[in-house]
Parts: sequence; C-alpha cells; structure tokens
Amino acid sequence: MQRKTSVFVETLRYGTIFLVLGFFVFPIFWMVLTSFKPEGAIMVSPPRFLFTPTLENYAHALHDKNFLFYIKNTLIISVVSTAIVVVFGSLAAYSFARYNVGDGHILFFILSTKMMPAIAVILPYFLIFRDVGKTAIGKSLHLGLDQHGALIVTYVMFNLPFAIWLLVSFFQDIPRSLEHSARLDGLSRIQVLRKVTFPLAAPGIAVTAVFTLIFCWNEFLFAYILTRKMASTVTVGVESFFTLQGILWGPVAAAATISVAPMLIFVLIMQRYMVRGLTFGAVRG
Amino acid sequence: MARITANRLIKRYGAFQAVHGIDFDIADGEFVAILGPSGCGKSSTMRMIAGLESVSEGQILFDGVAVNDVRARDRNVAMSFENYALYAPITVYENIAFPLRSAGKDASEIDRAVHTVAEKMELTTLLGLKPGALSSGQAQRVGLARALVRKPAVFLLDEPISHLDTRQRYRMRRFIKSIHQEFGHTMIYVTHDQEEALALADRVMVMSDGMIQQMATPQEVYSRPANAFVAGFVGEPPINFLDYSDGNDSGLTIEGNRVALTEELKARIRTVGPRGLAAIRPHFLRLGSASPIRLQGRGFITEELQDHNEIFVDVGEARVALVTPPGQKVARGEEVTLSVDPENLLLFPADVRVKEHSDEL
Amino acid sequence: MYSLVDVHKRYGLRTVALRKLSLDIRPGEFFVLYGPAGAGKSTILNLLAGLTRPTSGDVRRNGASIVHLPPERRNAAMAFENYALYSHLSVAENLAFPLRAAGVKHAEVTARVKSIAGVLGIPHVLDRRPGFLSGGQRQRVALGRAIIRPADIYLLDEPIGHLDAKLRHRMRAELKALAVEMKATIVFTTTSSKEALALGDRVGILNAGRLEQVGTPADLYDRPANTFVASFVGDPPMSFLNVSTRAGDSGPVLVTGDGQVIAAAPLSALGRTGLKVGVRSTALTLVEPGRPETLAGRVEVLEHLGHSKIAVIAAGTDPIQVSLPADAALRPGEAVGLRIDPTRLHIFADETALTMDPA
Repeated sequence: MQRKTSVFVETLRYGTIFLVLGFFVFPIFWMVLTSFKPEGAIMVSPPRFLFTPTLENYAHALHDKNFLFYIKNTLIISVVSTAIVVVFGSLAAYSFARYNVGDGHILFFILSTKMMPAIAVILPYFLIFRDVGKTAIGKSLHLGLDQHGALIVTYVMFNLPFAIWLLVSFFQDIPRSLEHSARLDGLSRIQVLRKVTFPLAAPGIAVTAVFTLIFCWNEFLFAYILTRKMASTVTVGVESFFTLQGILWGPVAAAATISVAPMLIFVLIMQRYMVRGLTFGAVRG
Repeated sequence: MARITANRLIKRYGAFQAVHGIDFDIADGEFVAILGPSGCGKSSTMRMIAGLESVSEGQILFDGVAVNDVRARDRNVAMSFENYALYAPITVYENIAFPLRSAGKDASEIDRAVHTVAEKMELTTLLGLKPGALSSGQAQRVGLARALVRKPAVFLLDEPISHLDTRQRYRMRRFIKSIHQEFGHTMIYVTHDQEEALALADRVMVMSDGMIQQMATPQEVYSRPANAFVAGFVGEPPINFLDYSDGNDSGLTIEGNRVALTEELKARIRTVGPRGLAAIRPHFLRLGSASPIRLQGRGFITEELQDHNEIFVDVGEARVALVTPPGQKVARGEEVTLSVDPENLLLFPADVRVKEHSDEL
Repeated sequence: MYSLVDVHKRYGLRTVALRKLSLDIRPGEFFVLYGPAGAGKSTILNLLAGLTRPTSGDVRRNGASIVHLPPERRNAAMAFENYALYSHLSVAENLAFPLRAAGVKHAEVTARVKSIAGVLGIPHVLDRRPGFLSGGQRQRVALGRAIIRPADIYLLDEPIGHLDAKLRHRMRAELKALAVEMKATIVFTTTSSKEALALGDRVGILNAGRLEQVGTPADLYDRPANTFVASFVGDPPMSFLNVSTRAGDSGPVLVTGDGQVIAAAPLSALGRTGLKVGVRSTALTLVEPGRPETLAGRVEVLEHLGHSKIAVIAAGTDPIQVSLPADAALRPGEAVGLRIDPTRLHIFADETALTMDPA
C-alpha cells in the first residue's frame, strides 16, 4: 500500500528547492550577467535583465588590465602550494596514523598553529620575507616580497596542519592488515605505500587537494600584503579595478567570471573522487 | 504472565517490508525461540512485542487485549540485550536494584528481591563489584538478573549469549532454562543459533524472509522440517541436500543411485514431484549397507573429532557428510556404500535458494 | 621448522600479549592455535610473519634467528581475520596480487586465479570489487589470496570463522584436504573446539598469552593437562565435580561435596586440596536411582539438540552434563542414578591434572 504524495506537497518540495537554489546561485548568475552588460546598464535601478550583450568588459580586463598575468601567478602559486601540501601532508599524516608519532601531542600542536588568525601573523611574515628576500638563499628561491616563493611558503604553512588532520583520519580508516598482507607478498615498505596505501587513500588525498587549492585560489589578505605587482594573484588583481575614478564594475565582473571558471571546472572534475572520499572506507567485515 | 498473540502482523520500514503479516500464539508461560538468519525479521518481531517498534499493520495482543498503542514501559515487558546495558558507575547490587528503585519499592523489599535473584544467578559474591570488573559471562548474568528482578509478565532475550565462548554458553543456557522453570515467565528468545533455539525452547519459530517457516517443538522442527529452508537451517552438522530425479512409484534416482521407496515416500513423491531435493541428516547416514536406501560414493576426507568422526563422501556431484562413532574412517578416493532408513529420507520441492549457500544471496 | 623461543610480547607499557612462550612448528604440519579471544593467537601469527617483533625472545627458522628479517623476505602467506582485501581492486586482481608482486607471468597468473576461484567456489564474482561481496565471499577471497602462491608457511587467522554454519562445515573439509594435498606448513587460529580437533595435526591451547598445552587432538581430549584445557576442548564441555578424599573400605576414595563415593582415589590425590573430578558428557550413563556404584542426582535442565539430548544433572553440589539419545524420556526434577566410566575420569588438583594409578 504505497502512500500517494499529493500535488500540493510535491509543489511545496520543488518550490523550496528552487528558493534555496536561487539563494545560492543568484549572485553567480548576476556576476556572469553583469560581465556582459554595457557600462550604462550596470549600476541602474531597477536592475535590467534585458540588454545588448557586449564583450567590452572582457577586453578591458584581459587587455588593458592584463588579467591573464594574475591568472598565471595564481595558477603557479596555488598548484605548487597544493602539490607541496599534498605530498608532505600525506607523508606526515601517514606516520601519525601508523606510528602514532608523538603520542598525539605533536598532532595537536600542529593543529594549534591553525588557531592563529592570519591578521595576527601578517606583520611578522612581512618583515621576515622582506629580510629573507635579501639573502642569497632567499633570492634563489624567490622568497622575497612580491615573489612567488613567499606566498607559496605562506600558503603551505597555513594549509598543511589542516591537510594533515584531514588525511590522518583517512589513513586510519585503512586497515593495517592491508599493508601487512602486501608486505608478506614481497613488497617493500615504499612499494606498499605506492601500490596499496596511496591508491586506497586517493579519495582522501583528492578531497584535501581540492580544499587546499580552493583556499589558495581565493586567498586575499596575504596576497595583498606580500605582493605588489609581479606576484599578485587574481584576488589582488580584481582589487586593482577599484580605481580612483571609481569601481569598474563591468571589468570586475568579467575578471571574477574568468577567475571562477578554472576552479569550477576543477571541482567538477574532482567531484567524483570527493563524493567517494567523503563516504570512504576500506572493505571490512 | 501473559499469552501473546499476533494477528497478521506487518512491519514496514519505508518501502521495505520486514515482516509479512505473520500470525502466532504464544501460551502463557511458554518458552519460544525465534530462530532465523540475519535479516529474517526476527528482531523486528521481538521489538514490536516489546513496544520499541510501532506495528505497521495487524495486531499484537497480550492476554487477548490489543497493545499496539500501549507504550513500551507500560507493557510490563523485560528485555535483555546482547551488550548487557549495565550502568558502569554503580555496583552490581545497585544495577539489579535499579528497576525496583525507580518503581519506588521500599528498601527491605528491594534487598530481599535482589538477594533472591542474585542467589539464583550465582551472583551473591559479586554484588559489591562494579560492572567494569566483571567477565562477559558475569555481566550477562547481571543483565538477566536486572531484567528478572521486576517480575515482568514477558521476558524477551535478544541474542543474549551469542558472543560467549562454549563453556560460558552452556552455563548461561542452564541459567536461562532454570529461570524459566522456576519463575514461569512467558519467554521469547531471539537467536540465529539453531543449537540455542533447540536447547532452550518449548517451541521454535523458524523465520526467513519476514515469514514464519515453521513453528513447532524442537523435536518436530528437527525431525519433520516443514520445508527445505528449515531442514537446512536446523541441525549440526548441517543437513545434506542431494538432487533427485525420475521420482515415481518405482522409486527415485539420487545422483545415479536408483532407490526403491516405501509407501510413505511414494505418497510424498506424488506431492513433491518427480524432481526435487533429497535431504539426509549426517547423523542418520551410515557407512555400509545396513539400511535399505543405499548410495554409492567415494571418500573425500575423515575428520576425527574424538567423541565422533565426521566423514565427507562424494556422491555423484554432491558432497555429503556423515557422523560416525570414533574409529570409523574412509580414505580419500575409497569406494563406499552409504545407507539411510526410509523414515530419515526427506523430500522437498527443488528450491534453488537452499542449495546455494545462504551467504551468497 | 619454525620456533618461538621464550617470546615475550608487550604492546605499550601494560598490555602483555605473550608471556615467555616457546613453540615449535614442524615442517608440513597443520598446527592449530586455539583459545579465547584476546589470548594472543594473532600475535603469534604476526611474529611468524615478521609484522611485529618480540619484546624479548627469539623467532627462528630452521635454527637461525629471523627476528630481523622483514616480512617481505620471509616467504610467508597470511589470511587476515578482517580479510584485508584491496577495495580498489577487483576480486581477480586481489587474488592475483601476490603473484604479480612475485613477478609471475601474466598467462600463468590468469590460470592460477581461475583455478583457485574454482576451488573456493567464487568464480562468478571475479570481476566484482570486494565491497560488493557478502562476508562469506570476502573471507574466501582472503583465504584464496593467502594460498594462491607457494610459501614456506601459511598463517591463517580465523579464515572460516565468519562463514555461516553450512559453508563453514564444508570449507573445513576442503581446507583439510587442500592442506594434505599441498603438504604445506600451516598455522591456523580458531575459537572453535570443533575446528581445532577436526583440522589440527597438533593443537596449541592458548590462554592469556600462555600455552596451556600442545599436543595432538587425542592428547588434548583424553589427557588434558589442566582444567582450562579440559573445559575448553570438546563440545559439550567437560563437567567438574568438587571432591575430597576419604578412607574407604578398600583404600582411599574420592567423595563429592555431599559425601557420595565416586571412585578409588589415585595415590597422587592423597593429601591434596582443591580436588576436582572431570568427566565428559559421553562418559556418563543414566541408570535408575539407587543402583550401587552410582551417583544420586536430579535432572535440572533438559536440552534438545535434534540428534541428541543433553541433561544437566545436579549431582553432589555440582551440575553435570550428560549426553543422551534424542528419544530419552526424562523430566526435569526426576531423580536419576549416574554411572561414570571409571577409565574416563580426569582428576585435577589446583586446576592441574594428576597422574592416574596404573590399572
């Protein structure tokens, strides 16, 4: 005896879904829409939904403001930071999960470094990078102000603790006997990591990579303080549209649309792994 | 004390139906075991009796009165859980006294009741301990004592001893059985272990797929199983199933062995059909040709279990087990004749599910 | 030949898994480690595999210490109780894993996987991931992965413990047949008395990190070294009567708590306290009450087991289990006489078996 859902309940259900969806999607929709508006159609009241679309804003952002330069910087900094975080985070998390290094105390200490708000450490960072940038090593590693290395180090510092915490639980979920079994089959420790442990932890690693990359991509405060021009990222780039003549809303929207796109595509690709990662678990009894 | 009746009892979880309209009648003071594999609906049934789960359709009656809408705590039902559910910070004594204290009984009455039940469960020396200091067998006994002390009308036990080792299991079985003999509660015992069900219950209710397959005395469930599922689920070692074909008044063929039939078996063939399953319990299958129904086979392996042997023999495509006294052996590949008395040859309609291993469903 | 020599194993500071344990595993034998959960069975397997090292003591192969040999160089195969299947690989790939790791050729891997899947009755699930298998199927894949490649020693940690009764019974026989065929050295752990007796060439009984007794199934069943072994081997378990010695008409006798004579006391029992008589359910016969040389008892509980019945008889001050035919007519509360087969008595003092006088 199946209960029949009434038309009313069904309507209510979809109504709610559209309302919630609208709430989250509308700002993005508005941003994309604005990026195609001619200048006169942007800051008007009431808002206009009908207009002649133009690519003028994109031309301005890409050509006059050289926005692709910021995208390139962001790409370099985010990808390198994420790669470092994933590699070191996995190795650290693995040893915490398997060998209980420091009996939990070190793990807690690592998390505690996350408790510091960014604004509290920004000045020391600024001073450190200013001075380190003048040394020989600092120069060779591009660690000075307005250089990629400085931001990469900062982002790694800020993301590693979180990544380790996330990954530890993923590694703990992999039964030890899986590794034991592989070793008995004749694989060395390193081979076991490569062939058994990391493939099994792949969903967790994917989740970590996505979170880290999103953080790096969207970070503003450090990028704003530690860079001027040569290493500026998209968030800082957009800020430069806030000129003395006023805010260039059209180009801002175009730049924002351009900078959101890679993230959106990346997350869509990773979604498959992430869903598996969030419902992750090895085979058990 | 209470008589418990179920009327077309149905339990649904969303679209999934766990119990499909079952009927049963448990007499006042009777000990019934609900036996079945995991997911057969036995726990849902018990929880509906306890009032922990709502009834989707149908009725549960205590002494003829429907209790569908009576809350669990007002049904005077006690339940013992597999994980004991003891309160860790208080002593064994206080744990047992707990239901009486919450019922507001006076101190001397509580003391008397606790000591009576503690003595019965051999817990007297443990009354001062905290639950953390108990072995699992002891903790289980405290759990039972606490359930018993309030003199419930119905006593429900949900797999109370399945995780204990053999020695403790025998001991707990004796306790549970003697509790029933002494106090005479209506007892319902849920288990997946056929030995426990047979050993303890007055009647066994065998469930599978949300339906009652058979409800009868242990003797009957064992010797006259209602269908192939019951035959396969009850009995240790498990019953042997062999395909038979060409069944008619002149006999039937089991894995290439033509077998003559008694009148009873001929009648059985007429209802079951010319093809089906022949089932023989390992205890009834003998080495040698002493009994009239004979099968030719080749030895596979002999296991010596000290007080008896278990011999595996390949009969055609099937591998059968038989239980023999110690000392009898069959070598691998040795040609042997097995025989069984006609009254111990059970015939069932061919049922793919029981031939396959239940864990592959 | 594998040996553990005076092995002590601690986890952390407090948890002692094994206490000064010595054990020899002979080449080609099926050795069963039998004991309750937490007795240290898996620890012994891990020591033999090299997955853990003893806190003190030595692990040897053919007399040479292998304590420092890493697991990948021990040529041991192991089936884990929690299956340890790779969830990212199919069943076929799981089974092939040990062969691939050993560099076996592709065609041979495929052939071996197919044949082992046939033996274990899982050829139809080869393409599935372990996550889509039933518990019994997973356990068989785990077992298959352990036995698919030739190894010096096979370590099987409760490999059939999670199967349903029917399958466990069948797999037990197949495992034994396979072991005989392979002539392999196998160490197998279990919590089931039946499995231990059915499978073991020798059985080691483990309790709280100590070996209580090592011997053939017949040794353990007929000559248990102590009450732990006596009560742990055999199903139903042995029953015990608390007894003391007393002078009788023709020498000292053993008497129950309520003064009934059981049998002549062996010399070794004289002057000992904490005496117990152990008797198996099959060594007892029920007779009419009041017959000479019987114990008076009363039926406490009757259990139906299908093919037989078990009666719990209160005799003296202790409950005793007696096996009876299924059609035995008895009622709870009935008075009975118990006759004990005098050749099948076990006498213990302070939980340790006493020697019997030569007959």
